[in-house]
Amino acid sequence: MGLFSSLSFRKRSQPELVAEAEPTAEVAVALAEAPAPAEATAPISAPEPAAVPAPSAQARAQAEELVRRVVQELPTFITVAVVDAATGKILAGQWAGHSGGAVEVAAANAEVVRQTSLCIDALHLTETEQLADILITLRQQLHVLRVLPQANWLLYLAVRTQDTNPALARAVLQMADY
Amino acid sequence: MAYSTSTPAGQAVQNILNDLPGLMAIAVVDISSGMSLASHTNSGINPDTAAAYNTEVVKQKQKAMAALKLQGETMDDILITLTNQLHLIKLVGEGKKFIYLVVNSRETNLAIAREVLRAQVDLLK
Repeated sequence: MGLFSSLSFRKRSQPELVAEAEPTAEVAVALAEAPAPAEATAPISAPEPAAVPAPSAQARAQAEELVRRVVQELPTFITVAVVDAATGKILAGQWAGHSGGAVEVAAANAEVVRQTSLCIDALHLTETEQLADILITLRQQLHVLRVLPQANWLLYLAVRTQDTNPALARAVLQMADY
Repeated sequence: MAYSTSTPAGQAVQNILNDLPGLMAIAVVDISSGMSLASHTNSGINPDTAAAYNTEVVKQKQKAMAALKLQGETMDDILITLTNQLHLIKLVGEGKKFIYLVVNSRETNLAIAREVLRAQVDLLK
């Protein structure tokens, strides 16, 4: 089975997206969500879709550590973010300059990875092939999406081509996840 | 999976096969339909199936870029690294088509592969 075969994407409505996108300052913005109510006390009412548990504080700390490591190696980054592959939500990230559109970008990039995994499945390659990373070359920017299978996360890096090269960007992301 | 050298796409596939005879799969894909204009495989990989799924990969990334509102930016290529394989998607024809190439990463020089694809860009305008 593919890496992300158990994904269920919940399309978020516009008001939800607007509520999530916060105006940003320069540096570290970990987009926090209100913690989900404890399962034990939630009243059982009409059937609801299965709630996605909010990431634990430990998970967030790990995500922030990953971001920190990448930022240290590539201080000229445009964006570094850890994204949950299943939900497309940002767990930790830093944006140089404004972070407008960060929420949609994270979700769309998670979708890029998901579609790639579906492709690998459809080509019957899953026995021998695992997705390591996806490198997207734009005219002036480089985007790297590294898959971190142990936590079902993605490490997303956007950087200017004048500031680094693809091999170095990939190497930095590989090293961040030791 | 087939190609006819009477079309530019087919000619491009033939050129790429000549320069990268060890390739595993190749396709020239029309993004609006997700269908191969020309394709060939030397492995168990069905290039036409791959064409359809990779069209979605490209469209999703285009959506991600739209959300960023980047001025003057276009996507050149997407490199997917797997354990033993490299899947390369090179956008051509002003974002309307792409060349899809699968090679074994141990046997193929990536720089050469990218150069071979780049050489087909004019043909596929």
